[in-house]
Amino acid sequence: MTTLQDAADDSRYRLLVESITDYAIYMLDAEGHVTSWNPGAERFKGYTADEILGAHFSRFYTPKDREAGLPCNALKIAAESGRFEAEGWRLRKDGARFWAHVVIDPIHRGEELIGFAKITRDLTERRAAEQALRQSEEQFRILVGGVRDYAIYMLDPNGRVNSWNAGAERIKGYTPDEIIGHHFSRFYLPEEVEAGAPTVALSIAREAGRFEKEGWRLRKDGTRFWAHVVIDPITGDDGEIVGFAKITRDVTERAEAQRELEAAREALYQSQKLEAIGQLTGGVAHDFNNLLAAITGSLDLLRKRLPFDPRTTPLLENAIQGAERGAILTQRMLAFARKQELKLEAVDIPQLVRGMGEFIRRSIGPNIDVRMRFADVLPRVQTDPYQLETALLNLVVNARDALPNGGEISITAEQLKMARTQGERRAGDYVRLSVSDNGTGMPPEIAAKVTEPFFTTKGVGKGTGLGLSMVQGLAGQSGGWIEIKSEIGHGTRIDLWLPLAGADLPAAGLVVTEAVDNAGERLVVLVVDDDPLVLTNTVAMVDELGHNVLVANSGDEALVIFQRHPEIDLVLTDEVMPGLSGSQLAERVKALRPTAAVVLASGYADLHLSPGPDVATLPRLAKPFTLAQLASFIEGLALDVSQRAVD
Amino acid sequence: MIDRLVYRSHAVAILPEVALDRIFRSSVPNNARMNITGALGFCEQTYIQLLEGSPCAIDELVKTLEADARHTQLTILLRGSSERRLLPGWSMARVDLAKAAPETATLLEADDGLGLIALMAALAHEGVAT
Repeated sequence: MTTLQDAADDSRYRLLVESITDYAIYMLDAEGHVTSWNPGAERFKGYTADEILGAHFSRFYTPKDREAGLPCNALKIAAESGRFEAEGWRLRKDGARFWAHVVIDPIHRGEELIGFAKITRDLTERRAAEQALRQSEEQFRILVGGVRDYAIYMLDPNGRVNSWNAGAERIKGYTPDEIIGHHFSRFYLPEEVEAGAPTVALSIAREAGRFEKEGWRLRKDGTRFWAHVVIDPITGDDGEIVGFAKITRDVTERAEAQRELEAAREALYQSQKLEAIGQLTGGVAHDFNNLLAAITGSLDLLRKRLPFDPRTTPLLENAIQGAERGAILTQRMLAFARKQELKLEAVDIPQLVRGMGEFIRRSIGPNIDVRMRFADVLPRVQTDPYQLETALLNLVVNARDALPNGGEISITAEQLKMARTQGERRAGDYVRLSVSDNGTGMPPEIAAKVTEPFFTTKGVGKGTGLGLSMVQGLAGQSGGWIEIKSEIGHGTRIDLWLPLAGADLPAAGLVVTEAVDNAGERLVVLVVDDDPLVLTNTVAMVDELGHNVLVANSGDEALVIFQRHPEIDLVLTDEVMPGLSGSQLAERVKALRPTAAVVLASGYADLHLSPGPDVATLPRLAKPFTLAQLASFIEGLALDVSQRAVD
Repeated sequence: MIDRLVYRSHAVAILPEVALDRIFRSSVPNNARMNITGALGFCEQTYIQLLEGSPCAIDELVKTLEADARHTQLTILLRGSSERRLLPGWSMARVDLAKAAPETATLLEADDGLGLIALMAALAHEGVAT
């Protein structure tokens, strides 16, 4: 029975349904034929009401679903359970698919099923968005997973690890299987776990919204690394904390990278500065060497030309000695601790030891007596005096350490003869220099080992065994050896056996007189130097050696003279000169006459100049040179000259 | 006679080995000018330097060193005079204290100036491989 009211309601519903465009709302009869159609249905599916009314609703299904009997099944479920709801692909009129959310409700009149109400929503866009989200999540997961420089992982609200990326594996050493599900406190040092640091970190993150700190963390293998850690809380839609994102960086690596960067910068800095500094210090050395060349050369000649006179000769020797010291000073200007050649000299042991006495007594403390006893007459020994002093100092330190409660250290020396050769101990005359203490002593097995490098007898808290290996090295290089005698409770004595200095050895500080043989070929030599002092000196030396000398004050002048005098055999030139340099002069000379010999007299500074390929092979004579050095140098060249003459 | 002095100081630079190169480049010509010789090395953050020279030159250098911002807490462990130098060949030998790290640490702990001088000189004479 239809009342007016019903009719009014009915038309209102129809208006409502027909104005809806976001949902397809239509009815089916009991068999599934379309009996009504709203604008939403028309919009999604593309059919007008005229086209579709009376058609079976299965045409909205894909052929595959139709074959599977999905449409009839849907109606059956709806009829039996009062509702069918599903999502799936549906077809538009033009054949295009769309992802639909479908609800089918049965319509009964009394007990009789008269049809179905069907509401369909087009979810294609939502599905695309969902898929895009899933894809972007997947990409993000791959991204995070692939990051190797940062450990990025998640913790559940209780601090258990529930994700693990490649960076975390690399930095901390655990694989995902090993660590997921474990509490993150295992990355902390035990003492920090005890102090509750992990819990504090999470509660700070929870309350402040972020936790950031640097500190030591442990890798799986137990090694430490300095970590930069950030913990961010992750909140769900409801505002509850669902976990924590944890990002850890290994800053040890950063420090190392910084160090490498620093080293690279340093190398660059060095290469840039070295030249400037080389020129600066070298420049000083160069000027200084020029002066020394003039002084030593002139003195050398004087010594040769003047007869021995007890009133003047020692003064001359003294002056030469002073100049030689100056030469040592220039050597020092860039001397780093490269291994120095042992300089064997004739050393007066009592004099050397007494010279150290004040320093030792002052520094060794009041509880220890230092006594020195030497034979009345003691010949000089062959050794390096500076190294011997260092050796003695080390022996004294060792002796001191054996006297924790005070006592006596004796330094003695006497001459002894070794009658027979025993291994490295060759027969001959020696001075035995001994350092002994009346201290704690050592058992024999330890006494036998103490000269091994890095062996220390005294344990933590006392001294070094390094000194003894140096002492032994010095003794051996001097042609001697060391002996160790020790007795527990009675003390230790270390003997340094040093051979007597031969007559050929210079006394410490004295200068060898070099023999000059000037029987060589008589050459024509062009000497070039812008420093008149050096020029005069070199000319005198060349003249002394019996050669004919031509002189030039500059490279340019030398070139003119060289062209005028084809008889010149040798050009001996300074390197650093205003105008044409020695190398440039050499190039010109070689171009004019390839057989002419050119010698570059280089001061220390010139070592820093990089010569061109043509002059790199030229003979170089280091300044300052002595008469003997110049003689042997020219002698070597003269052979070449005569050989060239034969060619 | 020369004065011999050993001091320790705390390196300001985090990496003394890097700072050391610069120190050497400035100190070597300076020491050569003042006729001062010696050795310099470091153990962790502590510089140890042995200096030898005329008393006046040493006094002057110590004043300069005390004002040097590259280190702090300069402590002179020992100063005395002697006839000759231990290291006449070096304006400033760079010694490799890492070679004797435990010994150096022990000597530093005891502020043992004499021991440090003996060690530095022995190391300098033994040289370093470069």
